[in-house]
Amino acid sequence: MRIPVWQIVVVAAVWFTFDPGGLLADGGRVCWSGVSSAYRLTVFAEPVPLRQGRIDLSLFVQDFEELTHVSGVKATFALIPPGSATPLLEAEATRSNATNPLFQAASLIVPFSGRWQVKLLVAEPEGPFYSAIFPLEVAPAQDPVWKMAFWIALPVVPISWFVIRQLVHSRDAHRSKNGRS
Amino acid sequence: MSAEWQAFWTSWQFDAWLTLALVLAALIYLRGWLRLRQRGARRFSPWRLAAFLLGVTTVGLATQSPIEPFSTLLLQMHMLQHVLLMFVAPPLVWMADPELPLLVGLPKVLRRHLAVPILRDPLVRWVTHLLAHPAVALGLFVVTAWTWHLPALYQAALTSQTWHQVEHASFFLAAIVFWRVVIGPYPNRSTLSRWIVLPYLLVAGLQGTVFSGLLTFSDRLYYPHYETVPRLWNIAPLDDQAIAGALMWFSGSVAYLLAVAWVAAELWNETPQPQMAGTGRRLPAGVRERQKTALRISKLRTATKKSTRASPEVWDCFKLPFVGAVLKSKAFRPTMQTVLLLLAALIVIDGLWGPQATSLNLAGVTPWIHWRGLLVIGLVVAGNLFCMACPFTLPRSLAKTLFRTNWNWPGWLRSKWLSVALLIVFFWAYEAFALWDTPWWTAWIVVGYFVASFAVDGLFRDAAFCKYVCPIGQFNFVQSIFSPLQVAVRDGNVCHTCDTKDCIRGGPQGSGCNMELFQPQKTGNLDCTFCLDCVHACPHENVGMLAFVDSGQLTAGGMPSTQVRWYRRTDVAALLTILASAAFVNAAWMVEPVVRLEEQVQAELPLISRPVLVSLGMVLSLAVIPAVVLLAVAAVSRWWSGSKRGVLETATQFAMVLVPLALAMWTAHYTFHLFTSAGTLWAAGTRMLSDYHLATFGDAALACACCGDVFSWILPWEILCLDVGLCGSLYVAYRIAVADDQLSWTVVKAWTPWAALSTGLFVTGIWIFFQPMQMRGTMVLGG
Repeated sequence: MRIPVWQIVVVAAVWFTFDPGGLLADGGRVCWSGVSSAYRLTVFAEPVPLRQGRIDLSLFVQDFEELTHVSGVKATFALIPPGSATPLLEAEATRSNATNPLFQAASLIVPFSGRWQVKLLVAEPEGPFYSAIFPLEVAPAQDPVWKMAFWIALPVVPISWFVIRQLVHSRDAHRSKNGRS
Repeated sequence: MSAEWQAFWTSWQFDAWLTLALVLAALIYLRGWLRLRQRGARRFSPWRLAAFLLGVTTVGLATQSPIEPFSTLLLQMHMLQHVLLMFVAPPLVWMADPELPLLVGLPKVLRRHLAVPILRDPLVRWVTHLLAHPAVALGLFVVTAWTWHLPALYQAALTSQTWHQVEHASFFLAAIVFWRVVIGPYPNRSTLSRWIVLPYLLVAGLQGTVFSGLLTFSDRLYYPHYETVPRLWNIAPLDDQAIAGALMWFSGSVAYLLAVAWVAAELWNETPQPQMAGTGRRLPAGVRERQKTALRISKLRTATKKSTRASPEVWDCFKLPFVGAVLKSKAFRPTMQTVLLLLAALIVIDGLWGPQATSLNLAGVTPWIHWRGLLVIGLVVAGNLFCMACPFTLPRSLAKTLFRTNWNWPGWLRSKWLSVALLIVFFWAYEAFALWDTPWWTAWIVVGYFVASFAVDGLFRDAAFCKYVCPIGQFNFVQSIFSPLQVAVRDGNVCHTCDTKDCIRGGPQGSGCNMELFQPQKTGNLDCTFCLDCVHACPHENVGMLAFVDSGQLTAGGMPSTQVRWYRRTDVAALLTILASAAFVNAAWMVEPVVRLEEQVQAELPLISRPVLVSLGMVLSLAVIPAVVLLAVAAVSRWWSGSKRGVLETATQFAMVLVPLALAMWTAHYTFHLFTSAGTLWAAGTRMLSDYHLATFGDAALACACCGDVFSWILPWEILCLDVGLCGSLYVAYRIAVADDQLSWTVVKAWTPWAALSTGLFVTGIWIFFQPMQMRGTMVLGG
């Protein structure tokens, strides 16, 4: 039996077009919301649940009274590790980092798990920065084997397909043989 | 315009792969539609094309328009997405009768070798038949809709992008199955009466009403996520839920009503028409039109088949414009060999006289990182390209002229045993003397290779060095068994009438095969150096570089190119086994736990030097353990299946099982080093040039000598290689087991031990990939 190269090429191409290290999107779960004198602020965190490694923090800013969206506010996230008072990570939340222009997002790599504190600094229209602190529970990184479970278990699909196919084929062959006899 | 609306209209998404898939689908349909129209198939009217394009656009709108980012903030947006994916896109797609245009629109090669075999597969047919049953389709649609709207799952989809995509994919697929029954697209219509579609739609409508009613009239918020997110346009979460329910209700009702109207119109049109001969039954207008179209297509197909019968079925690399001409040119191989010869010279010069800092020396990085990586990539994507461009054989003619002896290679050495021994020596030396870390030794290996090749080819006839000595060649031969390209005969009938046999004997157009391979009998790539001598020698131009993997060679009957069948070639089996065990041992020897174990053993046995310890380890892991395991598995397989073959014969017969996993492991391992340490070539090259004042060796080049980032896709890539290898090995084991018999318990019993061995190797490989690995050839040692 000759297996045409196209089948092999297509299978390879399908994999190459699939990026397994997909980026996180804006959104996720609301991890904090509060109000400053001028704004109503909502912070989203992704992935859900938050794990050690790369995380996205997205900020949604609304006018305090009108609840209309406010864009272009200067905002910074500073992450304070468990048991410390000084921030270890800091990133500005920008609109260009977000896929939805309603959000301002920042991407950070959290080096270890635990209960982190997030210090949010938002520039008020008139006056100094408004700051809020809220906790962020970061779970330990996923077991690497579990993280790769999809790739490890992938052969189950073609193998199962082949087994069922052969069984169906064998059953049909058996039936037609019996039918003839 | 408010900020929200402004944000809404500017929140278009762009998923390159989804867009590519949609555009490709549209183009394939368009191509098929145009071809069918040219053939006179009037059924495929312009409105069907419009329906398909609209359906595809709807999927794009649902997933890439501002609806997508706003779906996490408003339930009604999310519901709109579902409505588009469940009630708009699928019926539009089916109204376009897409099956035939998509099939006809595919490139011929894909249609013949991929689409048609898949569609003809009994299991695929059984599954599609099952899904076409109204009860199954309706059940799937209802279960999918209700399940995903359960608060826990819906919430999960709202907070996870992956689950969100899975949710949408399952909605769309379930709706595709559901609407196929309703629309009944040409040509695969259900044999059931169309009347059944009316209660089918009624049930679907009723469940939709219940579902929408629950959302619309409930005073309880089902999805708490929407309570936590900021309110857009000041819409309260409960109002949002009610609007979402109403949207679902309205859209679903309209879709079902339109569908009822569509089916009713169809049934109405089935008024008595001219009678079908002999049956007394009348054919509806639609059916008559379908029959006419099918007849026209069938005639056209027959005509096309007749006109193309003489053309070869298999894709030939030589027929590629420009590339084919270049490959076939007699100057191509010597040019490639000269390029590699110059590179080898640079490696030797730098290895012998350059600084002995591995990562900054061409001899320290080029052979061990770049060449090995590119070699396996070449084997996987094309074939034995390295042997084709091998510089060691370039001075062969000179050697034969100088020596003029032309001796026959000794009969007792006409096997793979010598190369097996040399391979073991090489893998042992690589670890025992850390060859990868010694540019000087690497340079001498290259020199030694040239000397050996020159001497053997000068003294003996043909290409004795390639066939019986060269360890690299044996590696290439074995791994290229699964390469997609083969130098093979285009048309066997031409060979039957050929009297001269120039492909092996040689003739006026060129010398024949130096590896003693007779093209009409050759299957597979074993022993083929891709020298293309047979291509040039054949007076009928009947030898091509064809694209296929001949799985017939895997089974017991294969390998006529060596004139001896697999299960009698213990030397070949030994070669396969050594290369398979080396694939795992070579990678394992540089992972942290094994390095630690080696250090521990060395500390506990201080009297034994490292080379001796490595020698023991190598002999055990490369030869003794694999041989024992192979024979044990063969014994179990033989005993369980009741085979009459001996243990050694069974082991020899099944040794090919190891090759796909070995190739996978080599590919994963070597490409890992290539992808992570490719920059070392720049560092070593710049350093060498700077030695001769031809470049400046700066910090940027020095930084390249360090280990690069391990990309996030490397580990999945490595695992995927092993996945493919495992499937390949299991398939090969099956083909060998089933070769003498039909699928039966005996076959399963013969196959199972080999499947267990393959799975064991797969698990070992996965374990290796998860360990921190020495980044040999780079400046940093790490994971």
